[in-house]
Amino acid sequence: MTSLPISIRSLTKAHGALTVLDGVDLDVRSGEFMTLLGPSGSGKTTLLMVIAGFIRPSSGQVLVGDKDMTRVPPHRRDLGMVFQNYALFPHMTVGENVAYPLKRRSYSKAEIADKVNAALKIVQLEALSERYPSQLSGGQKQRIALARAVSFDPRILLMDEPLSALDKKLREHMQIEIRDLHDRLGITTIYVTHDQREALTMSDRIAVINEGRIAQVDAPAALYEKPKNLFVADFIGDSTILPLHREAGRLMLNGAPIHPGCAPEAIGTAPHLVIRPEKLEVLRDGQLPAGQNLIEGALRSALFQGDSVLVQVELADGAVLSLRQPGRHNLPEPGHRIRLGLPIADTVVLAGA
Amino acid sequence: MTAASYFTGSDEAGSAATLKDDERRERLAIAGLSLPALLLVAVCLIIPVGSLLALSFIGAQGNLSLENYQRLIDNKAYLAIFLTTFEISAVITLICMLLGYPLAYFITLLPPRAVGFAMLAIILPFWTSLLVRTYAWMVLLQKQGLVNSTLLKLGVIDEPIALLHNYAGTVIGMSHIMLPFLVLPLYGAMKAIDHDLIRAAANLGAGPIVRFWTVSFPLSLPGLGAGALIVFVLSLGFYVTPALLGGGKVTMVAMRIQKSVALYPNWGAASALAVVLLVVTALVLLLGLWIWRRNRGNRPVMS
Ligand SMILES: Nc1ncnc2c1ncn2[C@@H]1O[C@H](COP(=O)(O)OP(=O)(O)OP(=O)(O)O)[C@@H](O)[C@H]1O
Ligand SMILES: [Mg+2]
Repeated sequence: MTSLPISIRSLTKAHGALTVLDGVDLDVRSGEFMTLLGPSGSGKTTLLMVIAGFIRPSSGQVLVGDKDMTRVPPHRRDLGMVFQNYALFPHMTVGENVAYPLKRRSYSKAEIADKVNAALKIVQLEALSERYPSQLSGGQKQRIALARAVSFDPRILLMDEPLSALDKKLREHMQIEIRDLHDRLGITTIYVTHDQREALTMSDRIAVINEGRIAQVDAPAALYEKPKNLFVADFIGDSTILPLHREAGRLMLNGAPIHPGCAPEAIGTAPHLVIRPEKLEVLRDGQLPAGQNLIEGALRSALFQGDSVLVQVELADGAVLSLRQPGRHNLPEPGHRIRLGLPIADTVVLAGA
Repeated sequence: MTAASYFTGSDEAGSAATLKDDERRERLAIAGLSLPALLLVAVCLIIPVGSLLALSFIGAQGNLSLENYQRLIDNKAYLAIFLTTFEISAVITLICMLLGYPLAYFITLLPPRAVGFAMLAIILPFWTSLLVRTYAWMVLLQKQGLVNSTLLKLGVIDEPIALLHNYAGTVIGMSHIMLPFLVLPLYGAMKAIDHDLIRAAANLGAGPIVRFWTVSFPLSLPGLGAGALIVFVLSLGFYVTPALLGGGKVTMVAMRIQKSVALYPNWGAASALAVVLLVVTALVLLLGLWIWRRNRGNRPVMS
């Protein structure tokens, strides 16, 4: 089975005056695991529904392979889809649910039985084929929905927050299972979530969506380390974002110079400093290693959080920034001066809105 | 009750006792509030039904006897009346199902504001008396009525057809009056179908017609069954409309009961008929309940 790439071209969807998708361009490579990540109401479900054919876009195109799907009705699109609430048919057994897409295609009885078995085997639930959905646990329903979505060898798999109804432990387990299944089948997958950790764990690439627009498309590490705009910087991870001033061509934070990791001319107006809590290091008095920016403030609090200590530092202008370190070493008493080092390579400065 | 036993089983005995007390108090309060209704049911239902039952076992001489029931068995006319009653109820139910299903389905497809309007149109007849609706049908169905004159004008018929005071009139009138009882539960069942199920069916390759027959229709069946049961049971005991529109040509059990009492004041015979009708109706309801339970047992409707 070959999987197919998906290409979304300047897709727009408006409900009356409300523009839900605003010129979305997105290319998903063949066999790629692409996650749509964004806050609630950003248009993720709408985009997925347009791809599945349930919502007709106001303008733009959806291409699968080199075929324009924009006007094809949903039942002719041949996409597997896992719904947020599973959408298992309550009046059919697990086996009948998984066989449903196969019966809609020209398979013989024997082939259907084989494919149902194979699909249930993939999710390790062969034993449950006689049960009704109401007799399954949440995790089992989830797996059956997955089995049903892949039983007919679709070229593309769409999932809309498929794990949001599960508890944390099961969710983490299923994340690995879904990613595993994707790797085994090599199927082009578009996965919707608003859980950034889930997105970072599972995806080849992540498309961050904000207010109907793609804010950035990148691999998880690149998205985290090199956000391209303040929205992504703020949305991914716990960042502290501080406005900087320009003085004589240099960037200043509370009167101290900050050397950005990129050319300062590239930054544009209203520069902001983005600090990831784990990039900061507490420095001893008088120490300043080469290649680091120095930030000074007063220790506000140091909270023990099990695996790490969360340190909050108040800067001269009253802004508070957080950092994380393994233990309490090098920390002064609360209220005392503290010096922090930020490697220049990790110093992300972005233009404000 | 389940909550109480659950908490009693826990080790926090103190709070368990309080919870149980609270619950008992609440039950008492609710029982107190429902007392008037319970009394009403007792006075208006249990006493009349009880005396009905008693009356049916009293013979012409005021003695205890089974002669009222014996007559129901001996006289074939009674069997015919019961069969007619069943037949008419079945026909009405079928007609309501055939008319009501597309209607309910159509309403689910309407935009929200139109749904309110459609529901109003369906419920509106409930606000006028049954008698008025039945007389309205008499006006419409008579020889010079709207139906006949329209059909004549359209050239569908050459001379007025008899729509009143016969089987046809009874069926038309009763179907109209029973239709809302079918549409309301059916619409409720259709409305409760998760739209994602239809989408899932489409996504999995089912076109509109297959989607309807494999998903929408089976999931609406409990609503259709409930509506059909209500219509059938109500039809079994129906009096006013068949009496006025049937013109004496159609005799249903309720009409025969009325006749027994009014024409030849035979309370014993009327009571026996009523008891049989009551038992039959109860059996039909139980059968419906049994089918519903069984289907829910292995084919749960909602997940
Ligand atoms: N039928 C509709 N009519 C009007 N507005 C709609 C309609 N459907 C969705 N919207 C709006 O479109 C926006 C995007 O909705 P969408 O469901 O795509 O968001 P989402 O990113 O999936 O959010 P969530 O994470 O909460 O699921 C929302 O502001 C929503 O209110
Ligand atoms: Mg959504």
